[in-house]
Amino acid sequence: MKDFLSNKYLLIVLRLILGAIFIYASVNKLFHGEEFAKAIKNYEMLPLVTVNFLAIILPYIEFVTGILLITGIYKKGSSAIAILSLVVFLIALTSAYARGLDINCGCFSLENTASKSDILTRIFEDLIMLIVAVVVYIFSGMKKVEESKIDLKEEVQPN
Amino acid sequence: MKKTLKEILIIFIGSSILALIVNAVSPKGIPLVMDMNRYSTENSDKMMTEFKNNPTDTASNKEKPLMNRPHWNENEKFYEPQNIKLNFAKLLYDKNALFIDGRVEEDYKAGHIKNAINISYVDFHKLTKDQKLEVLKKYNKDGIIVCYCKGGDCELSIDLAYDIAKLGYNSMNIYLGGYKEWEDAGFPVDK
Repeated sequence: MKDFLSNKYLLIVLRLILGAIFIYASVNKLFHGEEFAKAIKNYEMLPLVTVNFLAIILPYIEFVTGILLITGIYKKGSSAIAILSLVVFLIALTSAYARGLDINCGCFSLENTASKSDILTRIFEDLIMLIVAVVVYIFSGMKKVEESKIDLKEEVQPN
Repeated sequence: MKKTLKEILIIFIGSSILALIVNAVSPKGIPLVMDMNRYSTENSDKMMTEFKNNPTDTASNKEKPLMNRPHWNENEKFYEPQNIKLNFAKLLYDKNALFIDGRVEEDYKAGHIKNAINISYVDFHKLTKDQKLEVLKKYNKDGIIVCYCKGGDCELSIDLAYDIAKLGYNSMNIYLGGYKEWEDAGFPVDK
């Protein structure tokens, strides 16, 4: 399983998919700060004074993270941010669902209020993406088991 | 781990700086801090007490502003609408204040606060100033008007109230709880 997950081609595909999703999710929010601020406000989790600031910076963090995942630059950092973002989104969505809030998820589109089943779908999708992000984070930069053994062997061989 | 933390910081700070710069120069940029008055109902109870102590005919008063309006918008020269809670909305309803439903006609017809009129913000907003004044001409500019919509995350009532306030309607109020809260409370509705 470890060999499979640390396969470099699999990791490239996972990074590309995750990166593309992050870019797609951010695009609609990049130039609609007011609508995204309203979406954040409706989760009723944060002080109003922080809402606009987050509405401004979060889409750009998402967008840049997506670009970095796709290009393979700062693999660990970008996948760590992806994990953090997804954990935060999951907490917010789960909280909104539990409280029966009437919200616009703000995940991909800034239109339309999400029904309870929409929110459950989003929670499920975020969980999948979180697993992908965790795999990318853990296995990026990790050598395959056999390569590690070869390196170790070379280190301990007497000259 | 240290390297990862460094990368996280660079991404976070770099993205934030980029975001703030673009927001500052973009015509669609938003303020760094939300306008708190837009959603706050902190004055509702105070206004309700003052109203109870000085009851007036909500529709016909012409001499002075009917309710305490602490926010005169100096830039655009209008009295900013006030947010009110359910209990005050009900009191004003009992005093025959004008209620305006800001939703589209379809939603209004499905159910609305009893005797409320419908001015769909989506359509109203597209009109010229003269056309808007024509729509509102039969309503007293100093009479108490309450705008509402669905409730929850709906902001049509806020946007509509501000549009009308900017036309010189001096006693605009926004009932944020909306039709859903009103109906759930068992108050009069038309369907």
